[in-house]
Amino acid sequence: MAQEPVFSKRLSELLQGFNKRDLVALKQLGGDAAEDAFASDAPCLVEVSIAAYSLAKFLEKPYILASAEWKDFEQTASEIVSAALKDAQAGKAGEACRRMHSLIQEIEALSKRLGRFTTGVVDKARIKAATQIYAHGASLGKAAELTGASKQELSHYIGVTRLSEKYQTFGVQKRLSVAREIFK
Amino acid sequence: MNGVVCDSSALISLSDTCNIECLYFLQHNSSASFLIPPSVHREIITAPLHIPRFEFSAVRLKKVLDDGVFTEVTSPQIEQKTREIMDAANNCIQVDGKSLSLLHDGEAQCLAVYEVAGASALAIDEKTTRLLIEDPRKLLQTLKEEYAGKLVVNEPALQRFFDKTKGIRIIRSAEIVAAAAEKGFFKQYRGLENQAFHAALQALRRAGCSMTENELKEYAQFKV
Repeated sequence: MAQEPVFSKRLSELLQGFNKRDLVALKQLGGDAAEDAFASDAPCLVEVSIAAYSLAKFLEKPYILASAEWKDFEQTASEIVSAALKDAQAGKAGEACRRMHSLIQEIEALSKRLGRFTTGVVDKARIKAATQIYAHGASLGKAAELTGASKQELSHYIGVTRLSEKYQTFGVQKRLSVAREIFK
Repeated sequence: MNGVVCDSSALISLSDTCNIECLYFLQHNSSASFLIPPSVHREIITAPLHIPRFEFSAVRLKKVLDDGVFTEVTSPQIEQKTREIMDAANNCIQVDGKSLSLLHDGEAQCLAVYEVAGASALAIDEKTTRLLIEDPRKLLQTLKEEYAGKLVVNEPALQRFFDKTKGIRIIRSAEIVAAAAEKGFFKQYRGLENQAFHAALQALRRAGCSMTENELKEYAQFKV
């Protein structure tokens, strides 16, 4: 379960960021919550990260903000996060986590109704969270497991970043000499 | 027979870049055999077969398994060895007093199968397992940049991991393709062998094979 002070802090930041429509703060929170999730092995904080990234994505899209569904969604999302924060502050992390899960479902539903891509906003947010976790030391499998991201899609996303530049160990000649010996 | 344990990361890279035929080629043109643990079977075949956007990839990899190009290794020893490896790997680095769970059981299971099967190499494209085995200090160095110095190493756990993985040799999908290239895999491209080989390496990198620009430049010197 998420460490309560950290969970409450991130929920508070999510509520503030969303209510103020602060895209920069929400994107920063997406990364910070993912990092916290890995450090404490806490899936609930992954939900906060995914929500932050997803809500930032919605707020970037004028056609979503102008849609008939947005006003109701905005109110529902704010109420869910507010209730989750109260639960977390009262020591009911499990209940807070369930509320965050329901928020993710609401986000997915809106994304399906209004989105213009076959990959939904939540799936993209999972990849962003997983990439952050990968950059903080997790293996590909661990990052995918913690966030629910697809290993395949995560692998492709990481492949087009410069993350690998930090991780060279042996040179090509040494590695290829092992391969030549194995495949003789 | 030289057994090569294949992690799902390497198989995903090969399959998604249309280079899975390299495994067929090397099976017929070398003394190597390709092995997978049960976790990799679940990750690349069983689970994605029921997810529409990954179904075709899973079907293709199932064909590779059904064709006998790789073999699933099962043994009662795997579970215990996997737990021991996970326990060591996932307690060797601590941040603010809490251990970082670095490895997934899929990667740990590959390491367990390596020992159980007496394999000769582990094919893995992801970076954490490779760094933990080949250069854990480098992993720590990169993590210190991310965690602003709050990192602590649990030396006994790190030593336990080192003891359990000593001697494991790692290759990536890039080296599988390079070895196949040297044996003539790209001759089918008649006159375009070099271009096909180098393009395949670029594709592998974009598919997630952990390779640096410098390594690609080194490979650029190779002619097949």
